[in-house]
This record gives sequence, C-alpha cells and structure tokens, in this order.
Amino acid sequence: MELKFLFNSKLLSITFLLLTSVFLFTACEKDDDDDEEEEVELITTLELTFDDGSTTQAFTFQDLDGDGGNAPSIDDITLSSNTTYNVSIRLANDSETPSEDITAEVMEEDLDHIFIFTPGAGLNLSAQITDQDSNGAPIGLSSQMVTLGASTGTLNVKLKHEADKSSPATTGETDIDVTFNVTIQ
Amino acid sequence: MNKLMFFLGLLSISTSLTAQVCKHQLRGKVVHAHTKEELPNVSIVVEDENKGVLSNEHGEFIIDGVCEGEHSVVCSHLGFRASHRIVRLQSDSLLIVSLEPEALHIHEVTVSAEAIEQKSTNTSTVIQGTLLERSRGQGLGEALTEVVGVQTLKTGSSIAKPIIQGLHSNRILILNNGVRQEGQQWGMEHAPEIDPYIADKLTVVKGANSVRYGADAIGGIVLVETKDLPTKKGIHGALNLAGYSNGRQGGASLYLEGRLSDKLPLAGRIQGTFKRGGNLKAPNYFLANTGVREHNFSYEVGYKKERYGINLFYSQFNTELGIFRGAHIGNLTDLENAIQSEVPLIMADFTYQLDRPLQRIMHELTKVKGFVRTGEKGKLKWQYARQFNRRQEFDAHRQFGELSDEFDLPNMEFEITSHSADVVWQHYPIKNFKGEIGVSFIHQRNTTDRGGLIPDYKSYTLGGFWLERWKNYPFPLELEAGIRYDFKRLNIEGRRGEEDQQLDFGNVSGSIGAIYHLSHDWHLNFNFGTAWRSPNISELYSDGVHHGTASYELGRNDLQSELALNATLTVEYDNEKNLGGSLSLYHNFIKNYIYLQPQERPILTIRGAFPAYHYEQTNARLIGADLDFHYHISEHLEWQGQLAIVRGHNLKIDDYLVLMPSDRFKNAIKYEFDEGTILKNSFVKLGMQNVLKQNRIPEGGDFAPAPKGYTLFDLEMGTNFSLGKLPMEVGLNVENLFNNTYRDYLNRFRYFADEPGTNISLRLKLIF
Repeated sequence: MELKFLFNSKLLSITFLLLTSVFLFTACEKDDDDDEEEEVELITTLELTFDDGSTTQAFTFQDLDGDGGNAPSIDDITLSSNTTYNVSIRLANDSETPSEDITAEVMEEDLDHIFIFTPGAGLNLSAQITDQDSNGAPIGLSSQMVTLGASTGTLNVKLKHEADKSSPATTGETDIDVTFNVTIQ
Repeated sequence: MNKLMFFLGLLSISTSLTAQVCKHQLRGKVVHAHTKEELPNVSIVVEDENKGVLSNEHGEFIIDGVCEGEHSVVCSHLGFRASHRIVRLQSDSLLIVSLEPEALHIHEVTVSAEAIEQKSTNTSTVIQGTLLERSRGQGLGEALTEVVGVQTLKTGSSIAKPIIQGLHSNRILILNNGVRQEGQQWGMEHAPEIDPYIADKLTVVKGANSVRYGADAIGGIVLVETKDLPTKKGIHGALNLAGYSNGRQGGASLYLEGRLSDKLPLAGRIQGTFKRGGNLKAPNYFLANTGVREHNFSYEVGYKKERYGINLFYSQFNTELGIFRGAHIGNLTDLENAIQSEVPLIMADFTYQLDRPLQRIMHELTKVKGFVRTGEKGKLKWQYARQFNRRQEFDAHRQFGELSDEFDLPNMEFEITSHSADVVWQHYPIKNFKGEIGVSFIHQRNTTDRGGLIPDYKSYTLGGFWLERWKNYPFPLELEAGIRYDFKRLNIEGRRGEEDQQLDFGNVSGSIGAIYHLSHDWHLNFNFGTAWRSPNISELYSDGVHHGTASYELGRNDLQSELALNATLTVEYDNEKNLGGSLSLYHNFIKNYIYLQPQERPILTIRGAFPAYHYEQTNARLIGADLDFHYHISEHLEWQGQLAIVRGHNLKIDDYLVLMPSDRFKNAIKYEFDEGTILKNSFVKLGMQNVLKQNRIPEGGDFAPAPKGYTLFDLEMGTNFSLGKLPMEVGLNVENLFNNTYRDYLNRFRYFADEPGTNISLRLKLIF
C-alpha cells in the first residue's frame, strides 16, 4: 500500500516533469529582431528634369519624413512657351544616407509600372511617353512635353503599379500621385 | 453502465439555445443505505452542468439553476460507494440518495465538484450542443452570431469580430479558457485568435461589467470554455469533420481524452484542428485571394483530488488568411475607382493558393491553474498564464526589388507577450451570502518589429475585486453586488528619437444586480454595471495611412479612459409547454467614448491627398432591445424568432455613432421528427434573416452610402444515429439558399465586392 502510493506519486512527478519540459520547449518567444526594425520603403522624392536641348531645369516634390509630419515641399514649374522638352523622371528615397535610387528599381520592373501625366484645364501643355517596356508598352520615365502659348495650370504625375497599361487610370495601385503648379511664359 | 451514462450525458446536451430552461431546483437528502442516518458533507454534483454542493448537517442539499433535461448526478463521500444517478428534470425535483458504505477498505473518492457557478444578473446566453457544432467550422465570430444582439464586424469574408450590442474590438472582453485574450484587439481587421473547436461552450454576457474580469468589458464578455477533463476511467474522444461548398473548405477536428484511475486521478486531453479553404465565390464572381489555412492544437493535463487539484493547459493557434485582392488600394483615387466599379477591379478563378495581401497569425497560450479547498468554508483558486501573439501582415504592394515567395518579410509585424496571474478565493454560503474575492496582475510587452504603426510598449495592470451574492431560497429575490479597482501603467518607448512616455490609468468599477422570480413562469433580471478601458495604443499613438480605408489616422496621447454605465432589464418567460422567450432592454452610457473624427484638411503625401481623421472623445449613448422567443405551434413544429435593435448616439456633436448594426430580424420554422428506431433528434429548419438598411450614420467620413437592406434564407437539417455502437451526429446546412447578391454595412470591404453566395455544408461528428 505504502509502496504503491510511493510509486504513484513518483509516476506523477515524472509525468509532470515531462509535461513541464514540453511546455518549456514549445513556448514561442519573441523574435530577436528588435534592432532590425525596418520601415516600409519610402519614395520621398520625385524629380522632373526638363531639357529643351540647350538648358535643363529640375523640379522636385519632396517629403523627407514620409506621410504626415512636415508637409511636403513642391517646386513650382516654370516653362517657356512653344517649346519641346525631353522630360526624365528620377525617384529616390532621400530619408536614408546614402540616398537610395528608386528609378532603377522601377526600370527593372518596367512591365509593372506606368506613369500618367495629366495637364490640368487651361494649361497649354501636352505630354507623350517616349520609352517602352519589353512588350512595347509605355513606361514614362522618359517623355516629351510640348508647350504652346503662355498659360498657368497644374500637371499631375501618377505612378501606377500593376495597372492594365491600356487603361492605367482606372486600374492598378497608385504609388505616386503628385500635382505641380505650372506656369508657361 | 458508466459508458451508457456518458453517452446519455452527451446526448442530453441541449440542442436549443433559448428553449433551455435553467431555473430548476434539485433538492434532496442523502442517507446511509442501512442505518438511514443523515449524511453531512456528501458531495452532490450535476456532472454535465458542472454544478455541485455539499450536503448540510441534516444530509440535505439544494442545487439551483439546473437546466431542464437529463442529468448525470454523482453523490460521493469518503467511505461510501459513489452513487451515479440519471435524473430527468422537468420541474423542481426532489432526490433521495442512499449511499452504500465501502465494505472492504476506504479508498479515495474523486469529487468532480467545481466552483458553484452562479447565473449572472447580466443577460447571458450560452451556445453549446448542435448550435455550436453547426457554426463553429466558420470561426468564433460567426458562431457567436447565434446570440440575439451579437453581430460581426467583418473585413472581407475571412475576418469576423464579434459586435455585442453595438460595441466591438477593445470594448469586448474575450476570455479564452479563463484567460483574458491578449492580441492586437484594437485593429478592426484583427479577428480573435481562438479555435472554436476548443470550446465546449460559448457564453456571451451582454452589457458593461468590469468587476469580475477587469477592464475592457464595455459592451460585454465572451467566455470560451473548454470541456472539463473526464472524471471516469478510460479513453474517449470525438472526431468532427466539416466541408463547405463555397471556398471548397474542409476542416477536421479531433480530441482524445482519458483518465488513469481513481487511485491516480490524472486526466488529460489532446486536441487538434485543421482547416483549409480556397477563394470564396460571390453569386457573380470569385473573390480573389480569400482562402484560409489554419492549424491549431491544444493539450491539457489535470490532477485532481478532493482537497486540491492542478491543471496544465497549452494551446496554439496558427492561421494564414488571404485578404481580398480587390480591396487593396494605393490612394483615394484608387478607392474611388473601386467604389465606382460594379465588380471588383481584380478578378480571379478558384484556387487554394494564398497570395499577398495576407495575414499570418500565431497565438499561444500556456496556463497552469490549481485549487485548494480551505476547510469547509471555501476554495482558493490560482492561475498563471502566458500568452504570445505574433501578427504578420503582408501587403499586396511589393516593395521594389526582389519579392520573396516565402513571405519571410512582412510589411508589418507585432509581437506581444503577456503574463497574467490570478488568485481568487470563493467562499461557500455564509448566512445566505456566497461570493468571491480576488486579485490579478498582468504584464505585457508589445513590440512592432516592422511597419512602425504603433510604438513599442510595456504595460502593467494590477486589480482586485470582491463579489457577493445573496440568496435565501425560497424567497424569490436574489441580489448581487461587486466592486473592483484596477491600475494600469503604460511605458511607451519613443520612436525616431522621441522621448519615452509613461501613462497611468486607474478606475473603480462596480455592479449591482437582482433576479426576481415573479412566478414559476416569469422572471425579471436587472443589472447596473460599470466598466472602463484605457485608450489603446493605436488610439494614443497611431500616425499614418491606414491601407484599405485610404485614410490618415492620427492618435492623441492625452486621451482619457472610457467609462461605461450600463443598465439592463430582462424579462424572461417560459411556460415550459409551448411558449418561451426573453426581452432585454439596455441603456449604455459611455463617458469619454473614443472615435475617429474626420478632419477638415486632408493630409498630402507622395501618393496623393488622404482624408484625415483624428481620435476624439465624446459622450456616447447606446440604447437597444434584444428579443428572442420560441413557440410550439404543434408538437412537431416550432417557430423561433429574434429581433435586435440598437441606437448609438454621439451626444457632444449630436450625431450617430459609426458602424452600428442596423435593425435585424430572424425567423425560423423548425420541424422535429418523431424519434425513430435508428434516427434520433432529427429536424429540418428553414430560417430567414432580414437586415434593414442602416440609415443612421454619422455625417461625413464615409466613402460610400450604406448598402441596401437584404433578406437571406437558410436551411438546416440534422440527425443523430449510431454507427455500430458509436453515436454519430450529422448536419447539413445551406446558407444563402437563393444565392442572393448583397452587401453588408458592417463589412469593411463592402466598397469592393458582394458577400459570398450559397454555401452548402456537411458536418459529421463521431463520438467514441
């Protein structure tokens, strides 16, 4: 009787020990990745470079601290009338040092990306994308813009991701949607 | 014989939610089988209801609140052979038990008497039996909607959070197996991380009540309770299988449980669930990337003597949820495009493949609890639990550069580790008073490893409570009162070079309630309770664009705690023949109610302008009524009905509260067949649900008007039979019988797609 009881309590303690160790082994821990906190990749800067053959001018939209916080700074664009410009786009993440070039990454995934240029009403400007992806569809990192008579208005630049390139305005996700004030003089 | 009783006990599990009458009194006397002397201190336990008492010095006992139906009652006492009886209760009953003395030797008798559960003076509803079986394959949130006044707040069709009387998320407290569920409850797309198959019983306690379980129970409490470990020797188990036509979803859940012997009262259970589903289908199209993968398991070991016991429990919940692809947008224009389009902008065929956007969640609970009887006066219970929750969210939008197929780089990752300790002393009746007193402590550490949406923090919560119930049977009044104090400290780590912050919150909560038995058929419940919650971390500190809703949300770290004052009156009627039901009226006043207020100026980002919202506080009032009833038209035919109405007002700006459920009615006709020689408990039920359009929405701040109201039909059939000697339960269910196209105001993806169409499901349960 005594012995049996002893046996039972021994068996019991072993069982509990075993189970407790199972607990210890299976308990999940926080990843030890405190230091690797990674922010979602930002595009802080969009730069439009206008080249009329003799001079180049650059205008930027820049939001160094990302969404919220300080408001973005947006250059006003001033162009000459009746001029044809070759326009190129540069994208960067300037919140990091060294600054990260994102233009090349868009280029690498050219099939998935397209820019849309939309001049506002009243602005005498037209835009035509000149570069092509491997399927022959437009990308928009390079384009040609033609100004006519003096006017003021806006120019909206969008970058779409995974859009249907035949109807990019209403499909895909918007990565960039920036509006500049433009004066043609 | 024992086996037979075990099965009888299982079969007697109520199949009806509201028809169950649980107000009967089981009275009786225990005597010596030969000498007829009265035996004091005999434990009398209604096994299937987990209720028990000890006989008094005259051998008498009273057990209140016993449900109608068959029960397994065990009377045991040291030195006597335990008596197992099947008692069929239809009204208050008297039971005389004779105990045979153990002739040979005195051996230990295991007593399964647990805490003497008391009916809450709050309105509470229990889901168990067939009702739980039929709905739990689809998740916890869905299962809870069986209760009148409970709806779900959905994000697509795979994420559902319970809304109780108009309140959800951090205003609902979920207790998983006695432990406060601690994940990232603040998010509207963060569903409770609980396997519904772990539950044997779900209880919804409506109305504010912080006293027993602590802060957050502004709208109510959901109790997820597991089965007690077996009290008899042998190995048993059950296998659940469920298949759904929509999403071609399949699930299986199995448990095995056993107990060694009376000498070594060690019992255990292992349980596991597996679930897999693919893209769901709305009547006219598949919903891209709406599959789900889930695997969960748990185990439990208990050692229980008459005077003390200890129990270890472990559970792990793992899920991967596809987020509807058509709901992912980059900015406001994308959202407007999606709303404009009649059909989702991204289409797909059926697949089990999960793609971005995706959520992957892991929740783990480890718990040790025990009790020690403290003489004849009461019982001391203690519990320690550790929870770990990891939530990873993967955006559809690939960051530039290589995208890993293995999903090893989430865009957002939160990890929260919580430790909680509880000690409660329950005392047995002292001059008609019985009650409990306890303390609890919680420590939490929450880190945001990716995404930076909320800062890292630690929190400490210390609370203490005292709850007493007065009852003097047969006097028809029962009273309950309780008081609690909690203190919570948040230590927030500064982000991006900001300074660390410390915030303290503290609050007294109280409750007072009464149950008055007007007559045998009529009962009145009244409860006045308070509850509080501290502002959550996202309300305090969020600062960024909320994807999917295309809005910029700005937290405020000077927010005060919310405080709710809730009054509920419930009238219950049951003539135990053909008519029964209950009507609850409630008034919930919430001081410092936290909500998102639209700002006048949008926030300009490189992705365009986003409408901005900031967290604001107001005083809010929610009033409503929940009605449910059942009426036996004939012996076989029953009419069941439910009605839920809630009105939420923002009192400071005299406007409505957002995301309030619209008025809804449910009607069902159930036909129960005669008991056959093979088929038992067979029924067919046709249900209809009417949901009205929500016309009471706050001004501004929404991108599209509330969708139209809708009517849905569903059909359900069920039966029980034996496969060899093993009892088996089969159910067939058709949801959205006529494949109606509709959208629901409480689904955050209503801008993007219709709700799923017809879903036929078949479920089997085999008990062995």
